[in-house]
Amino acid sequence: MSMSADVALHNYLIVGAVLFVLGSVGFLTRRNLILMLLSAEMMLQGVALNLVAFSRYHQNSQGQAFTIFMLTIAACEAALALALVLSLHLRKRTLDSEAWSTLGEEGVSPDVVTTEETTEEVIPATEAIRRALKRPTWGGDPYTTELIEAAKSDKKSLAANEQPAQQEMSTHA
Amino acid sequence: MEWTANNILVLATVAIGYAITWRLLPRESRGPADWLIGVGLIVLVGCWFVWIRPTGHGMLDFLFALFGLSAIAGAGCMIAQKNPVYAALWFAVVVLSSCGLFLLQAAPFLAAATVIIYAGAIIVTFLFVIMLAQQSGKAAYDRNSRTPAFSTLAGFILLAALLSAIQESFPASAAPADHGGHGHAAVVGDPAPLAGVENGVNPVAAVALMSSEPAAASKDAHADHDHAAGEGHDHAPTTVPLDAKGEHATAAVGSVKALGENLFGKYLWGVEIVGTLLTIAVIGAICIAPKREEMAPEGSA
Repeated sequence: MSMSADVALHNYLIVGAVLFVLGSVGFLTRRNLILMLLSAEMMLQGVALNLVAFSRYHQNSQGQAFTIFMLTIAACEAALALALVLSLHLRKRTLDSEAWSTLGEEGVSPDVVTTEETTEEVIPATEAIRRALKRPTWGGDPYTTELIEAAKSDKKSLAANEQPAQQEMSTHA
Repeated sequence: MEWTANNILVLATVAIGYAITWRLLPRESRGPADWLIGVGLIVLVGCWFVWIRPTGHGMLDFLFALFGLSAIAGAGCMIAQKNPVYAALWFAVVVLSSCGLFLLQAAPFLAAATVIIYAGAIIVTFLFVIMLAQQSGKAAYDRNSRTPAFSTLAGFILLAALLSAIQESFPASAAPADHGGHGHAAVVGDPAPLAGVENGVNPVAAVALMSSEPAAASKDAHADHDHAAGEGHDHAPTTVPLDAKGEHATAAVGSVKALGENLFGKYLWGVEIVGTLLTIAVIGAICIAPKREEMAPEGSA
């Protein structure tokens, strides 16, 4: 084989190796089940790159035929794995892989700290308006202007804080 | 310490990659030195140009750099994303770059098949399931990583092993610095500093250069490469003689005809078994998947 084919193979093997390793790092570090599956698919993509590079180097279609088989297996794996993930999600209503870590030994704690699940708060509209009026506006975005208009028209709910609110609206408007 | 000196390039690349990847993995607190990450990314792009040897064809190198860098960047962005939908879209970028690389390797059918199957079916299915099962708002399990330091270390130790294995398997056989007065080197465009670095770190190449036999071989390689560069071909000629009907008698590698001959000739059993496997997987997925009544109470998904 001439040198340029060697060089091309060398380059493609490096890219395939980096893709594989990044996929394995993603698989080991992420906690979301679906992202772990996506990282596994990326590992398969790195291997496919290796196969195609060797196929070109040896002037053979065998590597590409193997890549087609691998693509098919990846599709099967994705379908089955996603069905399993959905079933798991139904049990615990979460995609967290640490939710299933208690299937391990007794007395061994999971090695990750689960923080409090913070979702978006649901607050009454009047409270939201109050908070928006207290926040400084950077150049009058239409959302805050809308809130100010709504606050001006909704005098009954702001009865308790009406005077300071009026003063704040005059400085902001 | 001699091993360290010989493999300093591998160790430096892997160390920088480890630092950047560990820094970028999702965490709750935001690091203070974001500009360091920027500097590290620029250094990684520089590492690309150190590791990837130029083939001598400018357009090919440019396209390979374009697709290769976007594949690696997409992979890095995918594992660093907190939002799983964005991560799936970055994975689509990785698949498309990988398809570009397939095209550069004369595999057009495979490139088309990968786009259709991977980006068209698998990623779309992933996105559907993410939409179905994703909690509204950023969940805690997306914002945190699982032991990022050690997991990244394990991955990058593997990368160090792979890179050093690749480096030893492809010793820089052409060393213009050692063949003084070899005028063809400038024409071919072998970068002397790169060969110097490779020879500096690669004991196999250094030993090989001591003996006279590889010198003769590399002179032949030089002449061969010049001849090939003059002709514009990389390797064994791909022009195939046409037969009486005007079609190719033996199809070019990577064309549909060659793939079909391989798949349905040599690997016929494999094709049939994989088809059966697909059927089994579909039946299995339908059996495993939750029933519609169970999914419905989840809400408006």
